[in-house]
Amino acid sequence: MKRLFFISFCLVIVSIASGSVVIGQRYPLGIMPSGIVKVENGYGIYYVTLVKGDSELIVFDSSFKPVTIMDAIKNDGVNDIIYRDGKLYCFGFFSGRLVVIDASGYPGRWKKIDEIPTSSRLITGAFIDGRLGILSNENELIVLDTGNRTILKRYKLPVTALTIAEDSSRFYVSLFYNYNTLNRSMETEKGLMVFDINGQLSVSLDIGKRPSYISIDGDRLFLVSYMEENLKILNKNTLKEIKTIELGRYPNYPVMQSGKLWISITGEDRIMSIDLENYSTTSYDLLGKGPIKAVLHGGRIYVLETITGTLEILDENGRFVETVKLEGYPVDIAFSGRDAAVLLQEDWKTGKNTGAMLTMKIN
Amino acid sequence: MKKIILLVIASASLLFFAGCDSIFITRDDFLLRMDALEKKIDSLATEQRRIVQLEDAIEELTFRFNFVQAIEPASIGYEEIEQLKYELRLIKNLLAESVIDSASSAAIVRTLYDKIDGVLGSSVQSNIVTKEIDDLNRKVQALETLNYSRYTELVERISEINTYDSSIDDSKYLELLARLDEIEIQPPVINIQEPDDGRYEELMAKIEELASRSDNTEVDNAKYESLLTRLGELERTVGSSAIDRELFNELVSRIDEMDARTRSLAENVQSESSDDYVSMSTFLGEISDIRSRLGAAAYETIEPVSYISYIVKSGDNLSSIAKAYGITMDQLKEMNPEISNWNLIYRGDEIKIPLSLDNLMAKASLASHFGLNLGIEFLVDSIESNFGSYDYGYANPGIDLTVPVNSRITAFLPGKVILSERVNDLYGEMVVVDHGNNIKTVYARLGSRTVSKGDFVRVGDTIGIASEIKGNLHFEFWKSDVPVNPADIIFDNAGTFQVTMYTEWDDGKNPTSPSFKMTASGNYVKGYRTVATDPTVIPTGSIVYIPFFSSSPNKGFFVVEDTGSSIKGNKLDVYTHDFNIASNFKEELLVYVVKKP
Repeated sequence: MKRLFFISFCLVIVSIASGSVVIGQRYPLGIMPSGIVKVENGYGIYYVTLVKGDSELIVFDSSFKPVTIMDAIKNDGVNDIIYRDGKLYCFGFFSGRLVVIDASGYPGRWKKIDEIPTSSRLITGAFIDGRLGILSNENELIVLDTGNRTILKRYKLPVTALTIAEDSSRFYVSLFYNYNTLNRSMETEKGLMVFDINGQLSVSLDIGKRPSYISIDGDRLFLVSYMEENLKILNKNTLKEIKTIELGRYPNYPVMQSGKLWISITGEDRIMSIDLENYSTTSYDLLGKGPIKAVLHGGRIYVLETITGTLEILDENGRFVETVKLEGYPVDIAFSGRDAAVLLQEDWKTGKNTGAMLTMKIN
Repeated sequence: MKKIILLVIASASLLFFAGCDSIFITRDDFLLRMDALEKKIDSLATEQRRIVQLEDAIEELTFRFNFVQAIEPASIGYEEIEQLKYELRLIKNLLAESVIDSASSAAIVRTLYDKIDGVLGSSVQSNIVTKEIDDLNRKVQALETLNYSRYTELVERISEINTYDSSIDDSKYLELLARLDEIEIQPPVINIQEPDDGRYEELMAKIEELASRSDNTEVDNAKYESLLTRLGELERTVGSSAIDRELFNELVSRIDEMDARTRSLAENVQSESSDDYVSMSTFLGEISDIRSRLGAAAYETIEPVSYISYIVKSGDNLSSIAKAYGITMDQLKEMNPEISNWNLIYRGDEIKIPLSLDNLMAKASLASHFGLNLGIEFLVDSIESNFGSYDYGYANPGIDLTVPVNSRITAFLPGKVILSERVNDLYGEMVVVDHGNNIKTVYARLGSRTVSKGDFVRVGDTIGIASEIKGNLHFEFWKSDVPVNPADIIFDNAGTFQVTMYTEWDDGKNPTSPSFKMTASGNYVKGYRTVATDPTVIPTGSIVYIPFFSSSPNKGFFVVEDTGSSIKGNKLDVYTHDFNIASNFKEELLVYVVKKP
C-alpha cells in the first residue's frame, strides 16, 4: 500500500512539475541590459546580453545559466552588438571604437582581438561580405572594411539614423530624427536612404515622420513609421510602395515569424500580426499594459509588457492562456528548448537601478 | 526484496498506463509506447495543473464573494452578487460533471474574476474612501478643538490664582486685568476657533470674582512675578499653537475636495460608470499627503525653547524627575524658581527641565538613533511601511522598520512611560513615552518590553528588544494628539511642489535610440526611482521623499536624476512607465529632501 502511495506521489510530482510556466532563477545584472544575442559556435549555443550602463557582456549557456562576464569593453560605452562568423562586433558609443571579440571558443576563452577607432560615437551596424555599415551619432554612415581595418566611406546623413538593414548588395538606413518634435517640423523630408556596398547613395525616399524599424523579407521592405504610426511595405528593388498599414501609438519591435510580422503597439495595449502573403491584419487585445515585444514560440505568442511588468501568453489564435508576473521592465526574451529567459531592463524587486535575467521552464 | 516488489509494481503500473497486452515487445514498440505514455502523462499533468488552478480560482472567488458581502452589502446590489454566485455554482457543477474542458472553464472563471473585481473594486473604494473621510473629519475637529483646550487651560490657571494665599493690590491687579483683556481681545487665528459656548463669559466671571476681592494685603512680589511669567507663557502658547490660517484653510479645502470626490465616487458606484473614478492609488496618495501636512503643521508648533516642559503625573517627585532626565536637583531648582516648596508638587504642575529640545530633536537624530542611513537602497529595503501608507488597510500613523533581530530598542527622547503592555496583534508589545511639550512617542511590535508604566527613561535607555519578524519596530511620533510623519524629524521639509509625471516615450524616441531612457545626469531612468527637478531648487543626485507615493514599492523615496525644460522652481516630474497615468497626473504635493549630494 505504501509503495502504491509512493508511485502515486511520484505521478503527482511529475504532473505538478509539468505546468505551463515555472519561474526559475532571477540573475541580477548591471545597469540597463538591452537585448539577448544568440551565439552558436563549435562548443555550443550561448546567449549574450549587453549591459549598456556598465558596458559589459554577460554570457549564458543554453539553459540560461550565467557562464562568464566580459568586461573588456568596459571603457567603450558599447551601445549595440552583432554576431557574425564567430565574432562579436561591439559598437563603442563613448570610445568611438569598433571592438571585435573572438567568440569562436568556449566563453571562458572569448577575448578581444581588435579595436578599430572611428572618431565617431557608434550606434549600430550591419554586414555585407566583410563590409560593415555603421551608423554614428555624428549623423554618418561609415562603411568599414573589417578585413583590412580601413574606413572606405563616411557619408554625412542629414540627421541621426538609428536603424540599418542589409541585403546582399545594399544598406538600408532609416532617418529616425527627420522630424523635430519640439518645433513640430521636418528636419528633412527624406526618411529612407539606400547605399551600395561602397557607401555610395543609391536613392533616398520620402517615407514619413521618424521611420524606425526596418525588416526585409525576400523582395519586400517593411518600414515602421514611428510618428505616423503605420507600416509601409515597399518593393525592395523598385522601392515602390506596395501597401501602407495603420498600426497605432508607439509601434515597437517588429518580429518576422511563421509568415507573419508581429508588431507590439505599446501605446494601445495590443499586438498586431500582418500576414506576409495577403497583408491581412489581426489585432489582439491584451490584459497587461505596455507591450513592447511579441514572439511566437511553440504555437504560443509570448508578449512582454512593460507597464504591468508581465509576460502574457496567448495561444496561436490569440486567446489568453496565462500571465506571468515578472516584476520588472522586460525588453527581450529567448527560448532554448523548454527553457526560456526574459531580460528585465529594470528589476522592480530591488531599490537598485539594475536589471535581471529571469529564467523559466515552459511546457 | 522490497526493491524488487517496488520495481514490479512500477512496471505493472507503466504497462497498465501504456495499455500493453504483453510484456514481450520490440525495442521500437517499447520506445513508441513510452513516447505515447509520456505524452499521456504530460497531458494528464497539464490537465491536473489546470484543474488545480481552477480550484484555486474558485476558492479565491468564493472568498471574494464573502468579502464583498461583508464590507458593504447595501451599496453593491444583491442581484449582481447572486448572479455571479449562480455562475460560480454553475461552473463548479460543470467541472464536477466534466461537461466542459478546463480551458473553457478557465475562460469562464476569468470572466467571473473580472466581474467580481469590478464589484469588489468599487465597494472597497467606496468603503475605504468613506472611512478615510470620516477619519480626516475627526482630525479636523481635533484641530479645531486644539485651541479650545488652551482656553480651558486659561480658566484653570485663573482658578489656580484664586487659590493663592496672598492678594494683589489695585494697581498690580489692574495691570494683570489689562493683560488678561489683551489675551481676550487677541484676534483668533482661526475663525472657527472663537469660543461661542460661554467660555469667555466664564473667564470674565473669574476675573470679576478676582476683582471683587477686598483684601489689600501687600502683594507677594515673587508670586506676582511668577504669575506674570506664567501668563506670558500662556499667551505665547495660545499664539503659537494655532495653526496658520492659510494652511488650515488649504487642508479644509482639500478635505472638502476629497469629500466631493467621495460623493462623486458613491454616485459612480451606483451608476456603475467607471470613467470618473478616483483611482485607489491616487486616493491613498492624497491621504498620505494630507496626513503628512497635518503632522507637519503640528510639528511646527514645537517651540524653539531651551527646556522641556514636563507636566507632573501621579507618583512623581522632583528627585525622580531629575534622575530621569539626568540632571541634578540644583539644576532643576534653578530652572524652576517659582517653586517654593520642593517637597510639595501636584499632579498637573508644570516643571521645566533644563534640556534643549532643539538639540534633542536635531535633524537626522532619529535616523541615527534607529541606525538608518540615508541611501535610497537602504531606506527602501529597511522601511517596511512608511507614514501614511496603506499596507495594513489604514493610513499608517508611524513608520515600520526592520532592525536587526535582538537589537536594543531605546528611547528617542527622555520622558515617562505612560503605557507598557501588549495591545493587540497588530501593535503587539507596545511602549508609549510622554516626553513633555505635548510630545509622545510610540514603540510597538517589540519582541519584549524592558520598562513598566511609570518608569522614567533617558535618551538611549532600553525600552525593549527587537523580535525576528519583518517590520519589527513600529514607531510613532505624536504632537498635540496629531501623528507627525517621522520624515519631519529626519528630513528637510522642502514644501509644496507641483508634481507631474513623464514617461520614456514623451520625447518621441524609440528603444533603438542610444539616449532612450537616459536622463540628464547620464543615468538611465527607473520606475519608482527617477525624478526630475530644477537643479537650482533640488540638486541632481539628491534623494527626495514624497509621502503621496508612500504606498508605492519605493515607499515614496526617489533619486533626482533628471531635469526638464519645463521643470523650473517648485516643480517635480516623476518618471513612470505608464503613459496613461502620466498624461493625467498633476498634483500639489508635500516634498521632503532626504539627502543632498
